[in-house]
Amino acid sequence: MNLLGLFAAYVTLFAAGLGVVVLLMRRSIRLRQGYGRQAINLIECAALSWLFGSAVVSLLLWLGGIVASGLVLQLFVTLACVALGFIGWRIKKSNAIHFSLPRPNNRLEWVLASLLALELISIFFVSLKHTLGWDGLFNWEIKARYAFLNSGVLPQSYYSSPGRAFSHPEYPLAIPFTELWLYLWMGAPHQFWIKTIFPLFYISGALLLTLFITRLTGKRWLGLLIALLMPFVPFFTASPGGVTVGYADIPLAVFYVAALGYLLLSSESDSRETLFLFGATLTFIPWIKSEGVILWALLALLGLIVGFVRHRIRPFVIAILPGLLLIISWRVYLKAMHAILPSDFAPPTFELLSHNLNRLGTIFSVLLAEASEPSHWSIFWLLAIVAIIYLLAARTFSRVLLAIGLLGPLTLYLATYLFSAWPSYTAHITSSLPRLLLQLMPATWLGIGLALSQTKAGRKEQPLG
Amino acid sequence: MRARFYLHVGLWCVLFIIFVALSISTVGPAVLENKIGPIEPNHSTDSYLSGLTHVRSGSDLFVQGIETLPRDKSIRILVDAGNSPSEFLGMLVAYLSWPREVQIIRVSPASYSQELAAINKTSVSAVVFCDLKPPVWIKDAAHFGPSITLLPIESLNSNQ
Repeated sequence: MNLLGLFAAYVTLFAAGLGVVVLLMRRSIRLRQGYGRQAINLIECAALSWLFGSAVVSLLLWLGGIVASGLVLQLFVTLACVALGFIGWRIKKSNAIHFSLPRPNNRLEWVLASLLALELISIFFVSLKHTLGWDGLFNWEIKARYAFLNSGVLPQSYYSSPGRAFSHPEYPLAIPFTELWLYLWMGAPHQFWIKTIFPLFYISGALLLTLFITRLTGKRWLGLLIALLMPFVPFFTASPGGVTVGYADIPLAVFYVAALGYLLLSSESDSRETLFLFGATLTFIPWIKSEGVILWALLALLGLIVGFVRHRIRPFVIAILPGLLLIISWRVYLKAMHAILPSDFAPPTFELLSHNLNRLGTIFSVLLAEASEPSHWSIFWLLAIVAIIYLLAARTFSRVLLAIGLLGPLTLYLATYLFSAWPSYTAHITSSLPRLLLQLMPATWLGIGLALSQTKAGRKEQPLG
Repeated sequence: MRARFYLHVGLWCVLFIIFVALSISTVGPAVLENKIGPIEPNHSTDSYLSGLTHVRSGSDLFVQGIETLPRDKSIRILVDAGNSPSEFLGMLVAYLSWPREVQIIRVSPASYSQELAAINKTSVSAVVFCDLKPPVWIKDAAHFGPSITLLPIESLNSNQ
């Protein structure tokens, strides 16, 4: 029953995601039909189906849980998933769209693609070998478990319980409610099987990274090489917070690189498809983890800059609105639930800022010590510095945009420690900084890939990636 | 122009070789360590409880013990402030005690009698000591391995 339920949960998740992807790509597919191109890249579609499937199901469980519970809630979300899948299938049929699987063009691409496939499968199994880590258990699975034991809804008493404030009731629900969906279908909480969702985020991220680099540089081998190198960052594979322990940092990193990648593609072409996909991936960034608000704000700003430069400000404003609505809705919900809010940071004021400016030296020295720790990062951040120099030296709009997309979040993350309310702010930095850096890791690989290609921006998007 | 290209390729090749060479010593063993399973519903909590209390299938056993306590009263969890295993155990106990209200109290092992005396006996059903030696006068406590002691509130009343 467990495995059958697990299978059903995944099928409904992917059906919902597929429906969203086809809906988002529908308009541009119609436009493309005039040029005889009616294909959706199957790899891109599968990766995005997982991302949107998990986001949409968790959102539906949260919203549906406000008015229903138990079997009614599960039925409602299942129907919505099936309806989305059906709509996607209808659009595919009526527009004569077919899925195409991009094939490697030469021997090098075949070798790299084969190695990448092996690597992705290995990471999937490796991530099943470990227990859920601290965050994986106490921040995420705990919410899924309690919601399951309470008919699919997190009770108000959980949000307002001081005794369980350690589990961060204020954290958004994308990850725990994706886990909850699996529990609802399996009929019981299961700490082993829910670990399968985390490598799927990584696999989606690796595939999207390959596609972005391929489309932005025109070199598929480069995209494959960069995706192949990604798990060699030790912190990603071998440390608490990496892909193996059920933390939200990898899913957040994947949504961030997806949104950034589609933004870069939007900046280089007038494709509506990439703009829609930018808006959709951007929307769910704050739904993954609280820090996502910072990443969302920065990308929203970059989106507005792209819109302004490309004289398309209105669609970019529309693209950032759903995310804004989600952020506000979650805040209002937490207020209504009397949720215990974290006391990790003091309210930011100019007075506090000027008082704590002397922390800057320590913050940078801890950053330097962490980034140069070979057992965590090897020389990854040296590669990042070289790549950023390349990107800035290229002096093209999209490359500079990407450099800001890498340096901006880091700067903002570091600035938050100026307002840390921990008795020892250095302990705060040491405990959280590695995972904040991890959130920027795939996006940094994107920067490295683009730096490697030395291609000037302005080339046209490739059809199949 | 050609020299610049070779310099570019050479630089990145060297950087990637150093990157992979330094990584492999950490990533390799991490990939090979452990094995998949056991495929159990309480895979992670059982593993932690086994490590910290030496009790196998501890999650179910602990929940069975907690089930005897009334749901409308809360549980006080005493942990040793500054002792990471004790604090982690406290959170595991809180995790498993759902839907009962819990309060984790960080105490100093040398002097926690004040915190114990301050517990409101009418609203609390039990006190759990996590990796913390209970007072010597306590008799009717239930032990869950060497690290967790569960004391029903009646025992606290009668012994104090």
